[in-house]
Amino acid sequence: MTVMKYQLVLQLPAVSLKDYDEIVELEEDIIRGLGKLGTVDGHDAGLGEMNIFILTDYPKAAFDRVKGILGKKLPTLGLKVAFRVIGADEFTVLHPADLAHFSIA
Amino acid sequence: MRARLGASTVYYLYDLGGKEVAEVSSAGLWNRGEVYAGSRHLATYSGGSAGVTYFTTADWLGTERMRTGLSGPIVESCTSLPFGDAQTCTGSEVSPMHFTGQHFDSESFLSHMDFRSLSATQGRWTSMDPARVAAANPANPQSWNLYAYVLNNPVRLIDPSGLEPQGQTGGGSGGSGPGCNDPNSLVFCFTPSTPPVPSDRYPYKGPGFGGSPQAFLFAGNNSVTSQLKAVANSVGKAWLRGMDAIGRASDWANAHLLITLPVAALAALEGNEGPIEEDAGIIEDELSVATSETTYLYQKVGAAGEHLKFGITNNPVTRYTAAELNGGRLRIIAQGARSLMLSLERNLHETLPIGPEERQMFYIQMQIEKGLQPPPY
Repeated sequence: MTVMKYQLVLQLPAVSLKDYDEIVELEEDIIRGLGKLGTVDGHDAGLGEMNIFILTDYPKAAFDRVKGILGKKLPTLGLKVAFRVIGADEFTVLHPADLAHFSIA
Repeated sequence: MRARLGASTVYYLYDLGGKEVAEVSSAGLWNRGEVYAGSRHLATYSGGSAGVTYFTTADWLGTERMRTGLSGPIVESCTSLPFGDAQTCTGSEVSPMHFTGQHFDSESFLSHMDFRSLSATQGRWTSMDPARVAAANPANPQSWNLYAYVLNNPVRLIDPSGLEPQGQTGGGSGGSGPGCNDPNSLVFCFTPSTPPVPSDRYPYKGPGFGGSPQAFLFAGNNSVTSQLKAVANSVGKAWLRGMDAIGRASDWANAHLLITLPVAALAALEGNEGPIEEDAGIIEDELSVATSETTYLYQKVGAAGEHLKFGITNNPVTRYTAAELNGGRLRIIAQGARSLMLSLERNLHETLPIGPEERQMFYIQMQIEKGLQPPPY
């Protein structure tokens, strides 16, 4: 099994079971479309948010691929994206560019 | 078991407790016999009509340091470092039983335990814990390394089975081990009243244990199974689903099982036992084929044991940092195919009761329709 260096987190607001279903469907799309840029390592759901976790060595390239998968839906999702070295506390924000702080509830 | 020693072949014979009791040549001649007193290696008999008995003197771990003849002369003395490395013996080698009383292969420098081999030179197992990530305790970083021998504490702990360190402090009602005294984990510890037969020692998941989809058990061990069911029934028939056994017995003299009954899974069971029983067989089948791509369904709980969120991952140990756990931890609820874990997770979200997890807004409207009080409280 390949050990990836970074954990890329896609964070979306989720307050209903409908949100849960849509985000799981989105996760499936990413699993199919990410290719060799990384591995989708599931998600968590609760506290008003859902996070999709991607293990990758190329977080920016992986997010670019995710943006392509999301297409026109991207601006409507309220998506926040950041990455960190696996095991580290500090995130580097990728999206939106003006986001000052990113954390996982 | 057959082994090649140089140009010759020998056979090792084991008793029903898994202890090596004899070495026999390829011609069927008895080369050596081992004598035990309970679990303790007592002596070696060199075999044959002119055989000689050598008595063993071991340290507190059972590592054999000296062997003496019948009249008391020292025939062999050995020194080694904490992991059994740098073993040096003087005198005549009368038995390969060395580090913690287990068979030491002087050619490969491996100590052969029941389920795994310990590399003395590397100071670790040569294979990962067969329980994989389920063997890791998020609160104990030493357990995260699935190759680590006895939590890297070899001067205090031993692991003759290769499945679980022995000698820890702590313990619950009749059992001992991680989590036994944790009031938040709902871990039950107990000791089977009847030791199972040795052939049943292999860690076992799923089928054969009633309707439980997830439990490390021991095949055919009715004594353990019946006690487990009794415990589960006493707390709400939770064994039908959602039971997560996180401990394994390694020494039947001190056998114990640790069973976690997730709070949310218990809640999900209430008034819903019929469909769960019908599903149980399917769940067992899917869980029993868990592989390295196994997906874990977990519950993230806070420091007070309160529910925070559910999630699925292939790597529960690396999912959150210690700061994000903030004194809480992950409870592994189930493991298996991703599709099954998704189904279980969705079911948990559907049935999650309104409680301290008021920020968990999934399905609140349905809860309100059921007459439950909505947050805030």
